[in-house]
Amino acid sequence: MRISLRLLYIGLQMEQKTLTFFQKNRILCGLVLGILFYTAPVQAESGQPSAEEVSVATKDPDPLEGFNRAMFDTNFALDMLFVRPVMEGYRLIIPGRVRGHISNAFTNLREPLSFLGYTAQFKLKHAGVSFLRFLVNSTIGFFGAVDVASRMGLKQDLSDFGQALGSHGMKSGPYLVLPLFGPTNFRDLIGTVGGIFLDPVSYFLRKKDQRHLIYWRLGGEYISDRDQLTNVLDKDIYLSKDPYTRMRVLYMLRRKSLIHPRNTLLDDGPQPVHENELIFADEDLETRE
Amino acid sequence: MLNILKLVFVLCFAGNTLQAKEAPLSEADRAKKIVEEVAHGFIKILSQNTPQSVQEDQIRAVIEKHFDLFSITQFVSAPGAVRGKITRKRFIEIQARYTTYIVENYTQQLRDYYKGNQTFKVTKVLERGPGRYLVQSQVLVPDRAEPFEVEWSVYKVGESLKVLDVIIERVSQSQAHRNEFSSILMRKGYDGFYDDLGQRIEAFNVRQGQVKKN
Repeated sequence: MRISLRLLYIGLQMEQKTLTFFQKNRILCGLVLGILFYTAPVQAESGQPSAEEVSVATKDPDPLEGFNRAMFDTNFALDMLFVRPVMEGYRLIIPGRVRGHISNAFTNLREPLSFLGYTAQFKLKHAGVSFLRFLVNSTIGFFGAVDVASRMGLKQDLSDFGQALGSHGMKSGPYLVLPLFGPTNFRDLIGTVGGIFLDPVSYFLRKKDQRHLIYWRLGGEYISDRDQLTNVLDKDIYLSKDPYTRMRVLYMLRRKSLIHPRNTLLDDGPQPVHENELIFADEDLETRE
Repeated sequence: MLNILKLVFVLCFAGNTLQAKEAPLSEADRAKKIVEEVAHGFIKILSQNTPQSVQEDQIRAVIEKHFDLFSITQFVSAPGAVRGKITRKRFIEIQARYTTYIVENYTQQLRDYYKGNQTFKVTKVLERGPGRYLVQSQVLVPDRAEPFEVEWSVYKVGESLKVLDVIIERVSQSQAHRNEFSSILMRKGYDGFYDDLGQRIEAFNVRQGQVKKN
């Protein structure tokens, strides 16, 4: 499956529209297997790091890997066939600088939710910044198109309910990939569902009976985000040897770093190790001395 | 009279300059200087219109000079090296191959992002214990309202300061590699990991070949 999808990607990259029926079916097979919650068993070879060691090292198990991989492949196929072509058209028609302003405007609409997210974490200073950013950018920033607030020292740092739940000690739960929605985990999924109902902008539009604007916003945001993530998705994740793992790792680490204090960046990262601290399999301590 | 004043001024100025040169840099300032040297080194390499292979060699030189590759390799290759599950020879081979992998990876990513008009600045140096620094920096891109945040984990290793991690937009590159490689290590062991690194390097080379053809 991985090979077929990589072929699909390379094929689309080179504008060779030769996706075979077999490849399409393999995507469907993956989807069906995923729905059945198939998880691939992983076994350690003797004399190598054990599952326990690696799990301690990474602290990041992936019990739904089979399902997630199938969903990732489905999303990848949907991206290649539908989202990416739309995004390419968007990039063709609208110049980079204007796309930056459009992205700013969509980001600005997330500030009210960020305000609530920070308030739920009792981070009132950050909540205040989100509030002021929304106020400033929505007015003198032409509905958020120009990020005037950043130039005034109000740095953008968005939050959400997933972060709020994490800051109150809720564990992330297993990593999860959902169709179209993309990577998440159980905690962030709860946060996102909460956000859908509590987002002040959506609430306002529902109250004003302007539901269609909510869908326009979602669609526009999706394409704009895809455009902003082009380098990460197309050049880093999709071209890596194992795109699924790369995406999972980047997502989990980023979410973790948003919840935990900055100190953990150093504590969880590499520490200096002296050669003498290591024990190699072919050396005993006495000979080394 | 005027000449005497000029002489006094020159002597004072020279004295101040010499004094400034003699004043040793604090460890935090040295950490900042190393990060600036690495980042400006990368920008200078990318700004030259040289082939990718030449840029890779130059980036490798910067990385080998300023990064603690031994510690990073140990971190990335799970705790097996601490528990006597890998031979010294294999560890050194993995280190060499992993170094090539990060050189190729960084070169590719930097080339993808570099557009010739970015500016780099260190914003803050945070001391996190003796000989531990988190150097915060920003890469400003004209089309983006928000700059990219890049943090550098710098440690005192022996007598010198070395970079142990680069954290881009809050994602630690070393931790990302450690997580990515963990399942390969578990399923295929160190030999499989070594082969996998080779395949990844090969994939970069293939991609580079495609870019050249295009």
